Amino acid sequence: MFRPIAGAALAIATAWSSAAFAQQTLTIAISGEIETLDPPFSQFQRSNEVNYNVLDQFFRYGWADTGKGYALADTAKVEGSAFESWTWSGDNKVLTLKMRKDAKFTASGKPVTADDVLYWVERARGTKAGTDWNVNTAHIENVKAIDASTVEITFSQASPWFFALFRDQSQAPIEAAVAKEHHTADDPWAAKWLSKNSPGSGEYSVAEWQPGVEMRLAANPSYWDGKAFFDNVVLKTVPSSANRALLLKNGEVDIARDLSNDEINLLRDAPGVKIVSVPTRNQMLFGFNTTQAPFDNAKVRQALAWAVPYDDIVAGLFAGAGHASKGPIPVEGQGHDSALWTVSTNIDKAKQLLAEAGHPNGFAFTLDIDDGNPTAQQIAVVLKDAFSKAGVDMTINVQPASVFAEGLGKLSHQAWMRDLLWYVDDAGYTGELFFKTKAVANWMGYSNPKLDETITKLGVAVDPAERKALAADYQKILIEDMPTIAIVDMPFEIAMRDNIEGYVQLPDNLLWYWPLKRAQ
Amino acid sequence: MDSTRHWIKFLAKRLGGLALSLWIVSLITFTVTRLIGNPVYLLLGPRYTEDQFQAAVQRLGLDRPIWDQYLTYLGNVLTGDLGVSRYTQTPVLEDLLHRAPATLELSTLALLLGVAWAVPAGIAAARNPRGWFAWFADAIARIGVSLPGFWLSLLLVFVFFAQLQWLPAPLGRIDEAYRDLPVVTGWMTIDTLLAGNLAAFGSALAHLVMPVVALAITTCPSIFQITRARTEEIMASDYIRSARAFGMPDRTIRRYMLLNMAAPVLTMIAMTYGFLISGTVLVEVVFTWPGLGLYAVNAMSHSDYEPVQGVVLFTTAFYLFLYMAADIVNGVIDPRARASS
Repeated sequence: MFRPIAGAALAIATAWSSAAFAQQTLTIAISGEIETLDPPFSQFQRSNEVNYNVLDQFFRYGWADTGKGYALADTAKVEGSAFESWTWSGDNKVLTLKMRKDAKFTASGKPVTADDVLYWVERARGTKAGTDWNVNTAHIENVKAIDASTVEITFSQASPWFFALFRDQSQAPIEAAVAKEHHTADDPWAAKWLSKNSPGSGEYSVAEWQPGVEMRLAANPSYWDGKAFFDNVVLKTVPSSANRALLLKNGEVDIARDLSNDEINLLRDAPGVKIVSVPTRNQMLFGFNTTQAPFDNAKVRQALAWAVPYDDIVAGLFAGAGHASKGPIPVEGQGHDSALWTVSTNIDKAKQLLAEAGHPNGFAFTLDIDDGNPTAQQIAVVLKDAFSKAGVDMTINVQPASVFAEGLGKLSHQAWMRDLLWYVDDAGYTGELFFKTKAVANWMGYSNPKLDETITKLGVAVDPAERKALAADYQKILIEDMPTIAIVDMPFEIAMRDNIEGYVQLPDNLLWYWPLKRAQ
Repeated sequence: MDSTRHWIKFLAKRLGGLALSLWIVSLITFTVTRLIGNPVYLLLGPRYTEDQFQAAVQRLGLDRPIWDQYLTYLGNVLTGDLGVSRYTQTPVLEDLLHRAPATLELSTLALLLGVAWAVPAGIAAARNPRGWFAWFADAIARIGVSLPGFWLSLLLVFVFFAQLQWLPAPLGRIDEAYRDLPVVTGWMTIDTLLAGNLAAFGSALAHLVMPVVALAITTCPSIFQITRARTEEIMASDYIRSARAFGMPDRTIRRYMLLNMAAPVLTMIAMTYGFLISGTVLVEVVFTWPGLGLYAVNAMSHSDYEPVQGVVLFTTAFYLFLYMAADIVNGVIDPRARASS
């Protein structure tokens, strides 16, 4: 008599607890393994996303609901995260920062201190990897601890993009004492240990990791801004994108990442599924090698810009989401001015410019694309057809990712196409990285002293009116010289179950798990 | 005495061939992976200084001449060090040992299923080549050989998971609830039985059904075809006809037939097994099977040289070892094979 009742009670309790686990667990299908948990060595979206969620960045952006089913991070509104407050010196060259008093490391429960920040800077410089770039680019000269909860940063010059750089996934304290325990003679910065372990203070921490299968993140109960809604976030590796879409449709996962445009379109009307579509600053760029004929002639570059069917690409490939690009600053970017964009789709104008450039019968060239970029491949097919109408014969050459990346670095492509996400919403930063003479990502070999001067000024100007005027000059020069054609400002589209709410679009297209909730 | 000398010579030749093949494969893989671009550009992304670039080149040893890099690699391989993944920082050997059981379990069960069907079906089809069964088995083999494995896998997922919901989602080797079971052999079917957990065993089997069937159907038709062709050939041979004419019992004739058929069929089984170990890549991708194939695909997409080299070397060694084992068995069964080699 008693045994069946006890059995039934146990069954009900088990079913209830498993349903509760499912309710409080966010399951995300991802396309591949998490490469590393060590931010300086992460150049990949999946790793960056995990790092963003398990570390508490120094700063974060505020956000506001758009009324369109998602909230948008406001790049003009910087909030403290690991740092709570700060003050600038009169000349904008010394920044005094206060640590957040209730920020604690997840595993040890110890407070985050100024020493942890100093260790972060030392490690950035010592590893000479990604975070070192940020320290240098922010013009940081010196960092010192005033006391256990106060840090002072001295800059060699004013640094308008400091906050934008120090809110990204890699800019976050880790527990110095724990990391130092794993320093060895062969591995002086514990790169091996930190690739698999993350002693951070973020909204989540890594609870389980089975490489190739899944990673489970557990919510940090003592996170300074409150515990996340989801107790667990499970990242399931599902390499087949068709399967990721199928699992979402069947309700096996809550969110499916990295789906193709076609799969997203197929899911738009699926019951129980919603597509969050957000315009971004992710531009598809068509770059020219300006050191070689025929692209050493600006008129040739302009001619091809006039042949691009901007609106057709947005309508045909992105179902009308996103924006037809209007110049080198994305439409959603700070300082963008559409009035400066004088180009539209006009084949006759393209032919006229080609004739003026000495190519009345057109010419032939090769466009190189990375084989891991299906969207670029789709756009290239449309461009090939469009350019042929102007008499230009474009051969599309799809290359392995490493060959393509090396070609960019060595300036060996005749022309290339890839997407670039301007996650630092600042023309000066973009120019410093991309358009300045001999800039590290100046894959065009482009040089214009007037633009260099504008970029240098943008690097120190803090007055909004001055920055706006400089951004306008920047756009005018680049539209005139056209070292790259921005084809489309692509939307970020993410497929999820329709009961997932609270999505916040970050400038780097990373998914932030903390604000997500499941509707009852 | 002569026989022992023959065997020693035979084995020495085979082992020498195996070592030479592995060395050639290591050389080719090392050279080819270095032709697919300098990994530093991909590793650093678009933001780096010249100093950082040179530091990464030095860290990866790419500043040294390629022959020097190869000699270091070869020396390390000989001591069992296959290098470290540049992205995960994990030793490749550790990754291979962790991943290999998943691929071995999948391939072995697919082979067993394939052989269990292909060998009896091949013999039955040969004995009555104009019967309905021969026609049916031949049709299955033709369909299997012409279907791409990944396509058949997607079809099975669509029918048995998405539509009928008879089988679990294509998400790895076992349900989440059983993932904490202790790992002994790395084979889920064995480890769940060792743990005495029948529900977990059932889950492991259910996860195996679709990938095993997809692999068995697409890779084993060659075993069927060679079994059938060889059986037909033997049945039409003079010695079998003479045996029948002399009134030898059927059992004896069947034994002669099987012995004569065994050598080419065994060789084909060994070749199929070797192919399965390296050929599960796309099926592993569809079923999220955390084996060697998925590992290699991930490494390739990142131009991570060492894991790619490690997987190629491992699968080549496995293939060559199987081929050698088949040769030895053939030598035991058929002295002519030993003598001719």
